[in-house]
Amino acid sequence: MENILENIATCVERGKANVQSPYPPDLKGEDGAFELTQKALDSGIPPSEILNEGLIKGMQIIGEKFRANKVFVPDVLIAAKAMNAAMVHIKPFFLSNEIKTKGKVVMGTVAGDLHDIGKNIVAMIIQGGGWEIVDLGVDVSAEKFVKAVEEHKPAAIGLSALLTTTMLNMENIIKEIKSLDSSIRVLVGGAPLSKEYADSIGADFFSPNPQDALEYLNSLNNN
Amino acid sequence: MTSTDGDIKPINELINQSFEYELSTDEIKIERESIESWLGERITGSPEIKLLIEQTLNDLANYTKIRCGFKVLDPKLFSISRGKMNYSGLDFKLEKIISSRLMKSETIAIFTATAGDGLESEAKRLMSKGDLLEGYIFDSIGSETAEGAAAWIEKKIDSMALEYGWKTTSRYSPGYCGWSVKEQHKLFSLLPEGFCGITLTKSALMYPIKSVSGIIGLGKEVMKEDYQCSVCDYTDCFRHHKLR
Repeated sequence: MENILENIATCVERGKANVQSPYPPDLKGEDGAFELTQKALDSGIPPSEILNEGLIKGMQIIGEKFRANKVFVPDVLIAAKAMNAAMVHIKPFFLSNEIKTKGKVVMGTVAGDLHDIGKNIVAMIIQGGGWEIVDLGVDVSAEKFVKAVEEHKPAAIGLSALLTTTMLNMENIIKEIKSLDSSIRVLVGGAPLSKEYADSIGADFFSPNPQDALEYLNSLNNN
Repeated sequence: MTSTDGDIKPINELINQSFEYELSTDEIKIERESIESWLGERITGSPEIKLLIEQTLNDLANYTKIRCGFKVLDPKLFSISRGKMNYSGLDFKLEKIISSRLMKSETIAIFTATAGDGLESEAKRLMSKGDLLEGYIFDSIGSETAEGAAAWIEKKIDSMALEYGWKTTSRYSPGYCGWSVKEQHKLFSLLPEGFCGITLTKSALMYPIKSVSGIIGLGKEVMKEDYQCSVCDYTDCFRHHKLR
């Protein structure tokens, strides 16, 4: 039983989505996260255990390797694809409330900025850690963030910017969000940002890598 | 083309002239190794991924509209000093990494280059349907195509400058080497509107996104020098990445 969960974690970590997945080459033709998750459910393993000990564990391994610069962006992308493939089997249990997400996180690239790969990577890691992501896309105004807060009541907001010109828009967005609900945690990220800048605009958390963001979010639930 | 003194053309022919080119994919060099370095060995170890890169590169013409061009500014209106460049009363604030390398320039050429928006659109389409890696490969090839076009226009400026008895510096772009991306608005104000089909957003973002802009110093005494990535703190820069 443990073995199949370990195999699911390995499939996610190595990006083996299903039996047809061409990568990684040494697993060609073998079951991927999709098939193994179905088999684990068929054998009676509770979906929460498959999620935590298989899927989330695999994403955690890739997130930690990414933080340590041991893998590249595409490794995270194929891991996320493998996780998404397996989640097809797990999602119905969320709908029936048999398992629950850790909470909602609203994410978006701030107004004026059209870059989304960095934001998407962070979203994948956080989602892979058991959180529900509400992705507002790119060029997101303060008004859109505020509307999403009212609609989704998230635990946290993630703001992304790639340019020194657009990171300036974060301050106003944070003010608007905090004036609506000061308990919402705001995480910021992007190449031009620093911890000093994040502190100066009233953000609650900054990190140059997504795994730290996930661990920060998880710490909110533990407190 | 020749650089002997007897054949040097009068520089006035170049001043304030804009030159624009549309390129085929065969005319630019795309560094396959660079694309593979973005993807990492774990990914490119897969023959299917190598094939996908190969197919995308073979099919590049269907996704690109490569345009590039330049304009040489009037030397009489140009000045450069430590940390600062001025053209016709317009001040540019440069880090000394750039200004020291432009110091002997008699003027600059402003250049732009773009891959068009096809690769970016395809990358987004693939990613939105869950083909994340495939989308990322298109995105990476888009970046390399824009870089390839920028390298082409740099060579064009180099060879044209030589005809007029000038040498050239390396190219420098807003957003790199400590030069604020905001200053891209000032650069674009010196180019014809819609030059090479590139527009600038309020936040100084070029559209199509896979575009490059910048300057090259021109003069009899200038020379090309390596970028000083080891003393620059912008570690997310692609030049830093290439050094790793």
